[in-house]
Amino acid sequence: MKLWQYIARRLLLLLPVIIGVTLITFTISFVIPANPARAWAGQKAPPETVEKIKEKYHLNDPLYVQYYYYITGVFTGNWGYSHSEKRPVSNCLADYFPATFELTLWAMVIAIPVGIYLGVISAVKRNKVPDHLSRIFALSGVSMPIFWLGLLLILLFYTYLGIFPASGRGMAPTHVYTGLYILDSILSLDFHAFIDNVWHIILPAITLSYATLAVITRMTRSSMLEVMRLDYIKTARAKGLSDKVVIYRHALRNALIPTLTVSGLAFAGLLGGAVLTETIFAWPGMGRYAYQAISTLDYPAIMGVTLLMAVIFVIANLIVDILYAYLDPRIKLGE
Amino acid sequence: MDDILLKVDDLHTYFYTYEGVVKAVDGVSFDIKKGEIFGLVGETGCGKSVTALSIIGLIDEPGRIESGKIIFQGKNLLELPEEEKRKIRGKGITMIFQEPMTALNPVYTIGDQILEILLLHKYGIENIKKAPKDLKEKEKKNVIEMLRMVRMPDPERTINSYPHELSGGMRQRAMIAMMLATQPSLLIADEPTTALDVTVQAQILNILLDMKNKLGISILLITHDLGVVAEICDRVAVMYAGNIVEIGDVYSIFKKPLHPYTRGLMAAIPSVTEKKGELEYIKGSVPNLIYPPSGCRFHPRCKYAKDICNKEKPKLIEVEPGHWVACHFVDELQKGGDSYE
Amino acid sequence: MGENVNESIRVKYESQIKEFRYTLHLIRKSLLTLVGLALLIFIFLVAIFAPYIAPYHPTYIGGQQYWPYDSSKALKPPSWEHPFGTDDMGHDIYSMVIYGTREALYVGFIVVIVAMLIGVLLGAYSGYVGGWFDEIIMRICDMFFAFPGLILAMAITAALGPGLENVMYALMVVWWPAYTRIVRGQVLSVKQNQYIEAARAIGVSRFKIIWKHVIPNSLPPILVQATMDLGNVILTAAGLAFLGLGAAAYTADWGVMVSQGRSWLIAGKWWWSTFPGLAIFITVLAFNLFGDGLRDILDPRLRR
Repeated sequence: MKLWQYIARRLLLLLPVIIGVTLITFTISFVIPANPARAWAGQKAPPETVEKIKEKYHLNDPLYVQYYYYITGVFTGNWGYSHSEKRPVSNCLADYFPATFELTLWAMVIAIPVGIYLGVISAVKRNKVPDHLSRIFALSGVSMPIFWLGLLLILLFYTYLGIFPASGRGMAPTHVYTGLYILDSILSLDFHAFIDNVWHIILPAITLSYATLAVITRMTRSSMLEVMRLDYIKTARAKGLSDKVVIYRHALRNALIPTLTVSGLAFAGLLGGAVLTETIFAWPGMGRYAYQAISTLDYPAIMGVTLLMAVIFVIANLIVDILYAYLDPRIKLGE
Repeated sequence: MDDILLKVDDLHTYFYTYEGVVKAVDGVSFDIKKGEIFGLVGETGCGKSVTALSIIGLIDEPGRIESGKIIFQGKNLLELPEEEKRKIRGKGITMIFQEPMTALNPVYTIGDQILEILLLHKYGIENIKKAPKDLKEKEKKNVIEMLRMVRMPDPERTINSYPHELSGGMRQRAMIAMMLATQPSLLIADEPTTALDVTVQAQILNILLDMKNKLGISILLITHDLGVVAEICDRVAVMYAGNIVEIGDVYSIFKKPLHPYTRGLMAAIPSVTEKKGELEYIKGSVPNLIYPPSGCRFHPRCKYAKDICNKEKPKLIEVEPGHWVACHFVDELQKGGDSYE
Repeated sequence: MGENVNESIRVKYESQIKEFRYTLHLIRKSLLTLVGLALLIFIFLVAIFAPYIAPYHPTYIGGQQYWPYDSSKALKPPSWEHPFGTDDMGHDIYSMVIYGTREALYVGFIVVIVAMLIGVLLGAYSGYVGGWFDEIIMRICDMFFAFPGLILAMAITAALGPGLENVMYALMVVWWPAYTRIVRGQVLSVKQNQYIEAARAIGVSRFKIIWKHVIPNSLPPILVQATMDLGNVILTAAGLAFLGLGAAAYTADWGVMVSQGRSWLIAGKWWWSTFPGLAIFITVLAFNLFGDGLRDILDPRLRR
């Protein structure tokens, strides 16, 4: 089985999973006690208007009909109306997505290399001081509430030290191409925007990355410990290779594979954490939008964010699966 | 003594574990001559693998080489700095392991893994990714040649294959090719055939014999299988509970085993020709190496044990030229019969 | 005669006694696990003896929690009188953090126990019965796994409405699939093994065999999972409370308190958010420390 066939098969499986996801979001929307028709019409509207709205949105039809309209809506881009923003949910999500993407991206840029490095050190110097320090650091990362960490960082770096800003993204670069401000400010050679954006993203990115960094450290450590016990490591050392080469070219190359899988799952933490982090730092992304939706009981918005994040998570795991197949020749060429 | 390649002198290797100090190798001495296949035979847990790992210097925590000497090419390996040891590991002395399934790195091709050891010891290049292309091309020919020598079917295709695509026998051949690519003086083979089918076993042993004849290397063959010893070894050392009890050439050991333990081993081999009533076995079980028996470690199971066996550990004595035994009653044993009774 | 009986009992259980002693040794050797255990015991004691430790106590009117307050003492920094300071209505934060222990543990245990019950029963039955039922259950689990935990809990809680109970229901729904997977996996592997012996077993005893083997084998991973989940549930519940989903304002709920104190923190009045957050951190840390140690101890490969 070639790599292409594997990718194609996984892509095909994507569809039923997404449909499954919509089933759940649809079911949840049904539990909502509020009367959506009443909410859209407004409190003062007469009953006939409410009835008309009910007809228009198929709210009187049987379940499976409503689901049909729901799922066709999802696939055609009609994700409902967000009354907290007075515009369609899909518009809001499209606007807020790049900010969340940028934040998440930088959180990963921090979490992955640092996490792997600490994990390797921890495994190689097992049960010595660096290992203990690293393990405590990682354990704190998975135990600490993200919102608390964010607040503490704001307290230290903004309130007391006044180095970094406490909220927002900073100024938009002169030309916005991708929606990723840091990249755009480089592309439009806007130096001021670049500095401002970097300054604004540091605290939220660190906050968001910590938990994921901790997970990656822990996984890399345990994966390395497992791999280093295996025979081919003995073989590598019997060849006369130096420890560094054995650790990085032989052990890590194998240990990284399960770590990769775990990183995919940890991505869920990043998405959830984004909601909390964006709320604290008033970062204009999907997470903050979700918070706004919760506060205003904007149910279509809440469901929209939920659905989108689930889809993103599923796609992220798909990418991880493909990378996994690429890295492990046993999968790539079929066992 | 110019024909001695490796001299192990009073080696002690201990493991410091939760339950106590495991004296895995407790005073082991033997010589390996140039161009000979030397067998190290004994039951599981007798310390033969630990001896091998001590020679090549791969003893890890919680193990430690306590004392002794390992003389190779005029130097005591145990006194060398790590850098010097690494130069010998893979070039002067190499080692192949028991499980070909897991002894090769699954994410690199066979060709790359053999290339790696060649580039390391010929040119000092550690990272094959950074090696110059022409060098790799040049050495690739040597890799193919090496694979051909171990009778690997279709060497050109094998170098681009991954370990999981090969059968057990092919993997072991690849291991042998890899560990002989640098033309070492000594190849240590730790139970190379134990994990393989009987037919493949014979093929691998033939390859080892072939290599010894063609390249003039010495092989330290570690096994628990007396059949393997009989097949290709020139000389044999019998090990029991961390000590060597007998050394001799293969003929003498099989025809005239002297040490009670060796005799027990020989008697326990089921015979195809003779028909005995019950299978013979050695009474008792292998001792705990944290609290080994005092004196001669075999004495609790030995028919001939007397007081002195409890108190004093017997030394290896050369009773005949080239035949050494560690027992207090060597003279009686020599005169005694062939059967262990 | 009596000695022989004792002797045979001792011999029969010798290996199990040895295993148990070795386990105790491992626990003792692992300092971090002991620290986790000690912390957990401490937290439990705080929860149990809250009314005796805390200087101030809440009253309950119509199911709502009310705390004694003094507006003149609003937003005072930590002092001898109020070790953790006061909030913007003059409530004593120290007492609220102590009582918050009760709520946190309550939420954690109930959610995990219910999720475990649902998950284990469903997983065991699903694995045993196989067929289309098993397929459907697995697909449903997969659908749940497609959601990030916090996000799904957020959606369900928002749909259900405000209140701590709804948070708990949402968390139970989010957490049960993990247990189903673990137990089902165990059942399947036992099923495979036992089929060889199933030839000998009668239909009824096959069920008993699975029962007798599934539980001891699944127990270690389930215990470890449950311990870690206790911490994670508390963490997620706090996150939801922070977002405004959960208990009402001015309740002894750590997440709510951090959320309320947020606007004052930037102005330098840090204590309202910091101390409850610290309490969350220490509690989750304790569960994770202990859970980690438990996992290492129970892992058969890492023993010896």
